[in-house]
Amino acid sequence: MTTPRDSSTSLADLAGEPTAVAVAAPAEGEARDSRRVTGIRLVIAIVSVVVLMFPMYWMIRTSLAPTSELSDLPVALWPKNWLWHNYTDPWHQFPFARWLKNSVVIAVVSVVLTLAINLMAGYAFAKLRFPMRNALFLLIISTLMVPIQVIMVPQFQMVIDLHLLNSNWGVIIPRLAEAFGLFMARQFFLAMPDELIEAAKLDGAGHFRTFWSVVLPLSKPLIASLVIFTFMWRWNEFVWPLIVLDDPNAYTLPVGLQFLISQFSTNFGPLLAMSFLSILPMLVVFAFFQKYFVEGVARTGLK
Amino acid sequence: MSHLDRRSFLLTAGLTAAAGSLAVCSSGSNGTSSSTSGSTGSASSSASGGSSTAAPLSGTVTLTTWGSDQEVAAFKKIAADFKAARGAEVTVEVLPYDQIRTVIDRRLQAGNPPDLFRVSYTDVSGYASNGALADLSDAMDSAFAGQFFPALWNAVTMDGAPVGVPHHTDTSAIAYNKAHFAKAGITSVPDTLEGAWTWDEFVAVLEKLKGAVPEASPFAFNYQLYGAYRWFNTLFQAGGTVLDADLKNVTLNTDQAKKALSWTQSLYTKGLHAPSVLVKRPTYPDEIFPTQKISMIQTGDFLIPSLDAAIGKKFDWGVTYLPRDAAAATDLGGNAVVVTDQAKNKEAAIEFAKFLVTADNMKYFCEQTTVLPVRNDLVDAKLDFATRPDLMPVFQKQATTMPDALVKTTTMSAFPAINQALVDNMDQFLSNSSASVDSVISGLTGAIQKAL
Amino acid sequence: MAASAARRAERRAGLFMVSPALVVFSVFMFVPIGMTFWYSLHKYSGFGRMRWIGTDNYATILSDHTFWAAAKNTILYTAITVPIGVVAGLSAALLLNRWMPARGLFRALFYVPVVISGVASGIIFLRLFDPLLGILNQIMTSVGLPSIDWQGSGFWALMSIIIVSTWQGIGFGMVVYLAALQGIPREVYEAGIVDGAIGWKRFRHITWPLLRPTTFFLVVYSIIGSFQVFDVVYVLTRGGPGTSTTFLVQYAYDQGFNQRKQGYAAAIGVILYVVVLLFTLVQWRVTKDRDEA
Repeated sequence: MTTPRDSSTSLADLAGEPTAVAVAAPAEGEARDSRRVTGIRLVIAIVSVVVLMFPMYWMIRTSLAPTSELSDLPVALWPKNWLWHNYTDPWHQFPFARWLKNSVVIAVVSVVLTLAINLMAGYAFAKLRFPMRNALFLLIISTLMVPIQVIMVPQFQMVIDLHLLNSNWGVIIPRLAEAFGLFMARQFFLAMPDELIEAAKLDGAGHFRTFWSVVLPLSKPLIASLVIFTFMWRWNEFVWPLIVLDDPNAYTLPVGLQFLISQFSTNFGPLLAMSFLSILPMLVVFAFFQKYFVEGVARTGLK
Repeated sequence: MSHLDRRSFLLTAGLTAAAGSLAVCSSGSNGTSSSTSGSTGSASSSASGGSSTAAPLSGTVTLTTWGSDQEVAAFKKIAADFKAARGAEVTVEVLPYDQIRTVIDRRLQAGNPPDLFRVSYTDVSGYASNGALADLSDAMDSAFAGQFFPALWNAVTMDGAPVGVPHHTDTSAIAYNKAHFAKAGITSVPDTLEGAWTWDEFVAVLEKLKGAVPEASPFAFNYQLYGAYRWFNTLFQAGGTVLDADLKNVTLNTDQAKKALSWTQSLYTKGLHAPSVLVKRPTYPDEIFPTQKISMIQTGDFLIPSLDAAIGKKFDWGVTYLPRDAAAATDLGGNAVVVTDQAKNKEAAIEFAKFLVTADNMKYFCEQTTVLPVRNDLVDAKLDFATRPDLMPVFQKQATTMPDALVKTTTMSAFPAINQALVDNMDQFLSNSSASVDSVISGLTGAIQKAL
Repeated sequence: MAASAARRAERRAGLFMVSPALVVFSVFMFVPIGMTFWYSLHKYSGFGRMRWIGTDNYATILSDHTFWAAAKNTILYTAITVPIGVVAGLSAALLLNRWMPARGLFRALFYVPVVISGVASGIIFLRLFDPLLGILNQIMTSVGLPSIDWQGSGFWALMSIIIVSTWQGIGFGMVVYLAALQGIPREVYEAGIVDGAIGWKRFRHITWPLLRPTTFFLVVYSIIGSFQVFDVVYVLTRGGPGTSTTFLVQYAYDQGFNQRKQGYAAAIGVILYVVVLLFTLVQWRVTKDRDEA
């Protein structure tokens, strides 16, 4: 599980070894197809990427052009006039900066709290014996697939009673009950050799010391995956914020975007400009940490 | 000339109200209100102000509304005047139209609603029957009530107690792209109510448009979501009704209703109606019309300013009357402003509600936003509409064709559920040419009957 | 008694470390699930009074056409998107498993849609699918194809949701399969070559059976995902036209927060919960049997 990885940071290198966790043979010994087969695969890959990326390209293209330029064919692939004000105007018209700030605060705080809760619980469920351990774990895991719509009615009332409506905490706290991260953490700790923990105990360390100074330092891949996934889920989350946030100043980016849909209607330029800005932070995070995305998926998927 | 139109509009409104309350003789009530309108007109602002103390107010009240730029600006201007006259600050909060109901509902649930909010006549009873609105009986006596069109005053009362003020009314007519009409060789457009196209003539016009302007859809209705009931225009044009005279039974299983349904569906199947403009999705034809992808739309007068701004000098456009079949008919639109029961600054909120509907302020609002007033004393007033005043007479004349029965249906407390029945059932029928008229009738009848 | 003292310490530590999770799950998951049952026995507009109506909401569900349409759509959508997702993910993984120039970049680009929010994806495709202003129809008509009514036809509206979901999901399936493919030792293939297993035969008889646990995981994960599809529907179709893209989660939301029927929404939630729970139990059962086999 813990194959050492090189520390290169270029996009292609990182992406080139996304599944280092599971790679059986080192890359240089990899078997290669014949040139013809590779060539065919390359062509298919290029065509697929062109198709898959077209919506992204069209988003950027639309965001830079006046609607009139795009409504009649043939549309030039490159904008004739660069309309940067699609990117700047909405900041003045709408509290876009507030939405950005709310999204950042919610994502970051959620990451920190989720990490703390899931690492501790995941470790305890995997390595410590205590009463009802399996029953409690199963109970929690049974909520893995429960959609938010099952509990939204009472949970909304609860948020009202706690006076958390329109606050970042109203979005953050109820969503800490997230079984996926806990599951991921437990799977990771299960695979960790008991000898390490026993050795620490023989040195006289208590459970918390062991957890803090022996286990956590060995859990960096898990922590990285948890950080990335929690960040992504909270950053992109829509239904729950849509329910608890009704004040435009309290919106997160996705809720703000759906607000903008009705504001801009057929004026797609600024709408897509703001959509692009809203996903940009996520794309940057992905570009830098993609191997952890992949590892996180692989870890839960394989076990 | 427009003087006469407004008078005839009042006639309809007066008749409607009289039919609603059997005790009142229709011609009498209508005669009194127009004969006294001259005198109350000058006295109105002092009268309404005088009905309560004009003591200075303090604090802030929040008015939550949706609106075009012009509507928001008009609200803000009146709010500033209120601050100058009465001392209380009014914050105007603007939300998108298709979200405002959900947001207000949620804030009511959280015990944190705005002091006042703008609401369509059709939605007032939904709030009032859940106890969300303040009883304003103490602040608004019968003299105050008597200033407004009776039918619309009734729409803002719950069991006789006022919960808000009627603010304005609006209605639908047809807007068309003159360039497309020229291309299609359509030279004569009806300029009188009596000369409005029949359905057959209307379809012929659409066919011409379809042939001449293939890159655009000929037509689209404005019956999306909360406006789903605007389909009733078509129903009433065919001579149909939604409910019987007692408002107890659904009357959609009639030849007239079937004709209206088939006709509407046929516009889609013949490619005469913009295919994606249906009922359930917030795709509003007035947002597409300026892009010239639709040649002609059924639209509300309150959209004139935003249409004018979006179209600019791109093309010439005009308005004409809704087509007619057995009868002419158009919908009762318009909005009230209501005060919430949990308002934090109820006194100032009530005063602002009254201030909004003084003769001067109502006149100002209507002029700026091209809608029609609902005060008896403004019936004969000359309104200087700020945008495209040339278009308004058509809407004013069209307004006289609001069917009595439709106005009654529109303002009843089951109406939100009736509208929802349309939202839930019409798409299936309109978007699928093999869907049968009988199945949509039974779907609508079942859902509406359940709501009564 | 050092051993039992150590055990007590372990027990204390364990309980302490799971306690934050237990608190959070109790308050924001288990209690709300219980309360959902309770709400489902009431008529409640959200504001106004709450009224006990027993099992009336459930009786209403039985005869609620929209509910059954939503249930049917949810199943149909799941039955279409899950296989497509599996095939597309596996194809992408096979395509990008072995060496080729810029392989890392290709993998990254395939994965990009996964990290984009449902709302932003919805907006992007709203622009593409727009029947009047959208580029897709403009391209189609310019090459002489009929333009597709993406929002006006029930069939195409559902297709548009499926297309967006597939676009969002390919990268995830690809990564899951890549990890599994690279976990297959080369010796297995080398042994296969001796037996003459190459090309399709090799895939059919060696690769595919070895990928079975991965496929199972992906299928389960995708079914969960497809039961929760909301964001894209909310932006693209609002469940329309009619009920053709109304799914259960979306219907529950609409009833609770747009139609002022929170009790009814809770009853739909209860049914959703029961379905999800049954599904979870079946999945555990299968996993357990497989692990023991």
